Amino acid sequence: MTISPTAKFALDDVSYYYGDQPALRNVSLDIPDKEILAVIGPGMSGKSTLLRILNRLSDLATEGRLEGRVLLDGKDIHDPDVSVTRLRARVGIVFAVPVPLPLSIWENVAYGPQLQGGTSKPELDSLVEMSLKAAAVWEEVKDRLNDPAAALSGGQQQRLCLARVLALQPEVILLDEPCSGLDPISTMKVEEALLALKEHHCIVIVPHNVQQASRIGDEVAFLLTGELVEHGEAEEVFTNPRDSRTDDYITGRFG
Amino acid sequence: MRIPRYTTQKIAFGIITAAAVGVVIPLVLVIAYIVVQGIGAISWEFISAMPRNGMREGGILPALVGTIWLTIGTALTSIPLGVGGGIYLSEYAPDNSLTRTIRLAIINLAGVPSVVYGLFGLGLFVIFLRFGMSILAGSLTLGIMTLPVIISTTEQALRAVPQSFRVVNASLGGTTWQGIRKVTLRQALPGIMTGIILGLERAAGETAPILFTVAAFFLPRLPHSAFDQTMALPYHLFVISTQVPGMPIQIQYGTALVLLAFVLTMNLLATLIRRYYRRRRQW
Repeated sequence: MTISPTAKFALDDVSYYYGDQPALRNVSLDIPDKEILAVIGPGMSGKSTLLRILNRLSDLATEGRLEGRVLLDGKDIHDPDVSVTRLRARVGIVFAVPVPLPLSIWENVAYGPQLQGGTSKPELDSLVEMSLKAAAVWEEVKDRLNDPAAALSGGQQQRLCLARVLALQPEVILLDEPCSGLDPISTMKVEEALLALKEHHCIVIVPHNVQQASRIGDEVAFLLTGELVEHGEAEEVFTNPRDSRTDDYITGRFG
Repeated sequence: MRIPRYTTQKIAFGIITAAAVGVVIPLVLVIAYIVVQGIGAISWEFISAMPRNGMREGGILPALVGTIWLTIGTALTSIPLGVGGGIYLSEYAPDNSLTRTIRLAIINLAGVPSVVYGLFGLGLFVIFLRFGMSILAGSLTLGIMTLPVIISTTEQALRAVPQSFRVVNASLGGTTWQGIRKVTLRQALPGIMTGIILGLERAAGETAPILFTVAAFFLPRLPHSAFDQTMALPYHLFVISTQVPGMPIQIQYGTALVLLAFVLTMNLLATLIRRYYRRRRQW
């Protein structure tokens, strides 16, 4: 397999099973750095599984089993000398349903860096501010950083969760339908934040619909029942899909 | 004829309310009876003086002090082990035959009669380990008896913490232990506290486990070390109620009242601590 020089992640013939049930089948995929890859497909097509494999959150599923190799900067993330906690700090993930930890806003954002240790309080303060600003939620929370994070609105919570990941200063940001529960204005804010973030990050998003994929995706990967049907530049995939199933999906004939 | 559903609702509501009230009645009666019978014996001397004249006069200080020491000793042995075991079962234990065996053991341990714990303590701590009849032997025996309660309430309190918090901790690069320390345990603390206090209360009031391991029939001095024997309130109550002829009723009920007050104070303390943590948490 040839890995393109700009690839951040490379999946090499990856299959994933929950028990006997395959969730991903022989997926080979290069994920470019400093771009947004949108992973689209109908429900149960393996999109979330794909994301969770990238930072080994899939390890938490006791019945799960992986075949193939996942390379981050050319290094297999399952090598025994790879620290999984360090990997997860490099590859952050934002979930569909925001889960603020039962702590204050400040403590939520500082949580990740504090786990890694070695960051002083003033450094944390500025890191928290930077991250909340980058996630476009700073103005709304700056006067109540010590309030419980659970008191925020859903849209604010989701941006807080994005800030919490940004505070890790990750190289890769994974987003699993981050806007599914959000109103259009919050969605717009998150999308704007992502477009700014791709300057410095590799971003993989499972968008909550095809429109979102076309708005922010540089590349698109189309998954169907665990199989990678098509992968390419977003323009290309949306205007001139090579596979008829992709065409059917993006034009809304199923899914 | 069908009874209208609003009527059945009222009947059900009445029965359930009666059951709830029925729970309170015996408690109130017991407390009221003991207070009425025993309050006359309560004085500063009663809780601060040694017993005199074959325990028919004077105070109950050595029994009170003994029970306090035994409760502290029980806490020291059962809390670290019990909370640790609960954390293991909830957060770390894989679902295998060893784990199932441990769970089975805990359930069975909870069902062992307290007098059997007493005999076990006598055999292991007093005789085999040569601790003698001592606060150490008694505390260890009561501690083992208390373990199942603390382990299962700790495990349940931890399991009640949403799984999503653990996933978030892992996703941010946290180890399991970091998640426990920073999030899960803090959330579960009020529940764990309740379990600990319930277990310790029961231990403080038990007679059988201390019968062969620590309790002295009559020892009018305070213990000096963990290897001393001591009097204890529940056993003292048993002794003065059954073994001493010509015992004034008032002293018996006064002793019961002190024991009851001791246990209820612990209860109150637990409620206050729990409320403190709830307020600090606020969500």
